[in-house]
Amino acid sequence: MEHQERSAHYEVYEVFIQRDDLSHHVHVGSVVAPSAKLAHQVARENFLRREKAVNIWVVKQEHVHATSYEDQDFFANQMLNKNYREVSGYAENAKKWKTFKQVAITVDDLVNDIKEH
Amino acid sequence: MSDVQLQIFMDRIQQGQKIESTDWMPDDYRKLVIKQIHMHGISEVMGAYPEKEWVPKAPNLRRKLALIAKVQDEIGHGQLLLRVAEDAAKPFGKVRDDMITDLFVNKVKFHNVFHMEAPTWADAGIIGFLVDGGAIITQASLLESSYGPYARVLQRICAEESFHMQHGESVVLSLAEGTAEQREMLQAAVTRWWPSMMFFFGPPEMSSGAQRMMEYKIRTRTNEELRQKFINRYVPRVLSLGMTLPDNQLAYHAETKLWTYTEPDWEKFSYMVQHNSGPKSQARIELRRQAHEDQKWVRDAMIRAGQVIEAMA
Amino acid sequence: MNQAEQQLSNNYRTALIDLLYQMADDELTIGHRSSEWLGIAPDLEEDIAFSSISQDEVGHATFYFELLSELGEGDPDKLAFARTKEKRQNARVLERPNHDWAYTIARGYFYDVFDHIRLQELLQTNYTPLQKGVQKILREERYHLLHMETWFERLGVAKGEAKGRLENAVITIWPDLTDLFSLGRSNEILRKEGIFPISESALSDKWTQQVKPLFDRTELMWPGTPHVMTGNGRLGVHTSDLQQLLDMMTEVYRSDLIATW
Repeated sequence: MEHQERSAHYEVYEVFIQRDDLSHHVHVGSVVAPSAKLAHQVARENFLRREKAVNIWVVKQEHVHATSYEDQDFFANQMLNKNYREVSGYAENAKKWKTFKQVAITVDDLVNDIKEH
Repeated sequence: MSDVQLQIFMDRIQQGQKIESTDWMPDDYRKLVIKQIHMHGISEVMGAYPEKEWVPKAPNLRRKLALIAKVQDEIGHGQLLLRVAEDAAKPFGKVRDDMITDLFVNKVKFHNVFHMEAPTWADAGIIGFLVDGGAIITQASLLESSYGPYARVLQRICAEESFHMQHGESVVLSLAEGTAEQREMLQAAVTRWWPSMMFFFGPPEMSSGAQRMMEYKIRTRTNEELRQKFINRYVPRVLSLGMTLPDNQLAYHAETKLWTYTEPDWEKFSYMVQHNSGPKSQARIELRRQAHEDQKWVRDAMIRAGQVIEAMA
Repeated sequence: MNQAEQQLSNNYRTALIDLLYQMADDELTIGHRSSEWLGIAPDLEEDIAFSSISQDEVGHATFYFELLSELGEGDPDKLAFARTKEKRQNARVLERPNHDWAYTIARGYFYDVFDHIRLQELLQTNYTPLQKGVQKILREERYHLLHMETWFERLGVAKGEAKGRLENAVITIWPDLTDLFSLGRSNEILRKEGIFPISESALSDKWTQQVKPLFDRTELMWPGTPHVMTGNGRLGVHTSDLQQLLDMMTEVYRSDLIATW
């Protein structure tokens, strides 16, 4: 078959859905669409036929700058133990509080204090 | 703005809906949101400095690592919050640069505690223990904020604070278990920070701005509620370590379920925050000024380099 | 029985310990200097990124001090905090103050290229505990090197004040670089015993091969291979900058040597 001149085509939009007010947008896939406005409208039915959401972002794929999958060392930042920056690195606090006749508390305890009116 | 528009907005607030930066909102609401989050973000950035002073002196490898990580998180929280404030301030054309430089011309304030001195290693511990404890209580109350981007970002901030709390307590516990000199150092820090902590939550009689924020549910708890939560949690903990608190009126009353306490010198602290006249206010603002203004050449160069490299590609 | 507890020959042990001190002291010193940027980096996003690098460096130092501890050198914190200036084996350039951002980036880039080469060579070391750690550390160091190289290139490409500052930084740093490639008094033994496979001059050549192209790309003048030895940090010869750093770093530690902090 003769090579045809390619006609104008739809652009790819990456689709991000925000499930509820307290969630951040999460990437769910992409659509091809003639404009951002139509990308919104078709994304609604392509991705939210069953689920609820409060917001949709569409971003032209060409505007996404991604890191490389081949170089996973880019993400290597937990190679040695870094529990000095985790709650789990401070397990001995609980024992020490006990010797002072107090129990250890966490952020959740303080958050729950607030919830109790 | 029509009355109908405002009524619809207030109904949304009453129903517990979240407001987003691109939603219609009264100018008053937007300005209060910006003021609150800008102040919160700048306080995080300025809050890095008292502990930064102890990073180069942290007494062992693990404390050094933890303190670097903690100060990094504070700056990180400043970054998250300023981004939210910047988006809210977009209609006014404000960008990061404005958010930072407002500090140098006294157009944004920061928390009283970060104007104070941290002269010993025990202060680095007490900041993590008491100041972070107070900050977590305040931030936990803001998780209910009507401003959606603020509520979202605070979830991450509160989660990260969980390590700060443990780190602060760990430093304090080591000192409490330590030598007589270490305990003395700890007691001095407790005494030094307590009045600042009582001021931290603000006066029982709230300003008109704070009251409007309550009406808009940008914040939902009174200053006094938060202070009572703090006292209730932290007084027994401090006392259990064998430390004393510099307040002879501190007492729990079962009938009211409230604590009495000596009021801090509201005027003195307010004046300090308003005029940046605390013992460390100017030195720390100067550090931020050096970071920002003296290194404008770096940011300018990176913008230029970006353009050159893009043009080559 | 692990390798640390095995009977190592005296020569082997001494050389290995020397190399580990060089690595531990390098990382602790540069990590300390990097952490001085906390809260004062050119923008908030970079402040956070740079802080992770300083944590990695102090973390790597901790790992090397732990290896030394396994070899009977004593408590890692004591090794980091109690040794005097004359006992330290870091390269001198790392103890220098940060100066400005251009100096910090140039030094960081030069050091990271060097460290990356050192770590890659150590993948062949016959001391297994070190070899295993290096595999992990190397993966983290790649990001440091990438970050420093990106900054270095961009400050150069930007021309103007940034390039001027970068040129000044290179001039200031260059005479300090010679001992970076020194392997100290155990130089020969390290190779003979299979602890570290290449010579000082090979190290320096590899470094030049990697750094010089970036000079060309950013049109920076290449000052020639560093060669005039001004003093060898690997032999404990340091500047007063290190004393000031140690005075600061050990202030609380020294206030009570037996206390637990």
